[in-house]
Amino acid sequence: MHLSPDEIIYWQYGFIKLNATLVFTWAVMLVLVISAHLITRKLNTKLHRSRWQNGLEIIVITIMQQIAEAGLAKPKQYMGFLGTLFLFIAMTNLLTIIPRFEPPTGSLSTTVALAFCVFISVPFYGIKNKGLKEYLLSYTQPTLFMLPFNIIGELSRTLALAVRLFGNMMSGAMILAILLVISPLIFPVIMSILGLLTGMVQAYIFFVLASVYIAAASVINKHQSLTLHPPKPMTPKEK
Amino acid sequence: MPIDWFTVVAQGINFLILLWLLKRFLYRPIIDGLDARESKIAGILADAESKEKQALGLQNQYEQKLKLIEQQGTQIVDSAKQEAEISAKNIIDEARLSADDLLKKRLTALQQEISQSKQGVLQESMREVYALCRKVLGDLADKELENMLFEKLIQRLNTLQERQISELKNALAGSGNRVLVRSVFSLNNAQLSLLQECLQNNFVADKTLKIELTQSLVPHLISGVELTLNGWKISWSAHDYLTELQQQIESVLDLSPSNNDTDKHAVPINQGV
Repeated sequence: MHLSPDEIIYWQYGFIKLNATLVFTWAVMLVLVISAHLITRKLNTKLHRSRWQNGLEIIVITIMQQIAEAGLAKPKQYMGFLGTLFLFIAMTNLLTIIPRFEPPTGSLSTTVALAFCVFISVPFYGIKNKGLKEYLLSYTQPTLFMLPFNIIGELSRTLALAVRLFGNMMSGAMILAILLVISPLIFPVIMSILGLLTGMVQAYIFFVLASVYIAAASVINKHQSLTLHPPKPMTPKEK
Repeated sequence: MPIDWFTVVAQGINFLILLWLLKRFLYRPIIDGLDARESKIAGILADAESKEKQALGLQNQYEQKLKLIEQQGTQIVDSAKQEAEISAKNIIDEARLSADDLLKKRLTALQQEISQSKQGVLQESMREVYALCRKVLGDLADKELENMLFEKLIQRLNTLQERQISELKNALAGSGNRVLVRSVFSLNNAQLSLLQECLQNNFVADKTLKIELTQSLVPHLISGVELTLNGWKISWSAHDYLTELQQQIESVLDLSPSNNDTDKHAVPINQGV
């Protein structure tokens, strides 16, 4: 039994290796890109459209709505990064129902890579939206004393992202493998269905947390800067 | 749990490649399509809004036109009603006049019919009276009455006026002294001789000429004697009296003599004495 698909190595040359994580990641990428291309190559901008296009539009619009609900004012700007996170994790977890499929998200290497991407994207979008100075000043809020704690918090939440997803997916695969040994009938099916639900929830959690982190880096500083202005006098109507 | 850092880097690169590919093949087309559709729907909505405004404007125009048409229609109907009332009044007046005329004509025709009926009744009554008189006189006529009438004729011939005598003389001369004696009963020889002698004495200047008497029996004379010569007639008969009576009644009733064809023989030949 393998705890991680990283341990399944198909080919290796020095430190360069072709393990199951990479292979199945490419498979998921191919499925996503090919299906997206097949659907969007005959995209209809008129009022009548195909069912597949409708489904894809629903997914995209729902993701954008979720991004907006997380507090990001311009969802299209973050759609590429956050949408790809959600779709990749969701598709990876969805494909676990295929026998002998090893989910790349069950590898700590994958989740660390994704969490690192989030870790990089937070300051990227923060600096992009507010500028370098404003972003760096946000680490000293509310006082300069909080700077190390904010940095630790930044690192720890990235680690938590990676470990949470890995733990859930790995445990799901592990439980399924153990149940297959103990009781090969019925129970694995139920656990597999439960695993699908868990996988989708984890994808959603990862996506929402990433959105919230980016929103926090972009919006909290904005609120703080707003508080610097003197409060407006209340009008009789507001009273 | 060991972390394969090569795999981490590779997965990071994979994720970035996937991000680019999905942006290229999924997000951009879908978002562009959504934007295009949104703009199209917005255009359609704006178009619909402008059309709605146009429609509302047209609706207002049509409503105003409709009101105008209704007002015009009401005016037309009112004027038509007035014209119809005037026409109806005229027609009723004309009909009344026509009815009055017709009534007058009918009354006139009725009066004419009544008068014609009256005349017919009178004429019929007259005819009945005439026929009755004729019948009574016919029944009473006999030889004795005939003799009395003959004597009356002789008496009359003897008491003619000068003018009548001269006219009869001329007529007698024109007829070649031939006289037609018409009577119901045949005259005897004494009567014929008396008549011849009377004529000879009164109307013949040349005593040598002899008057020729030709006797003819005419039953419709009823009674009496009639002398006819060269278009002249001298008579003393009931038929003449009755004919004269009829002519007087017809003249009173304004009847055409031509209608009275019941007794053509009673009319004098040319002139009567």
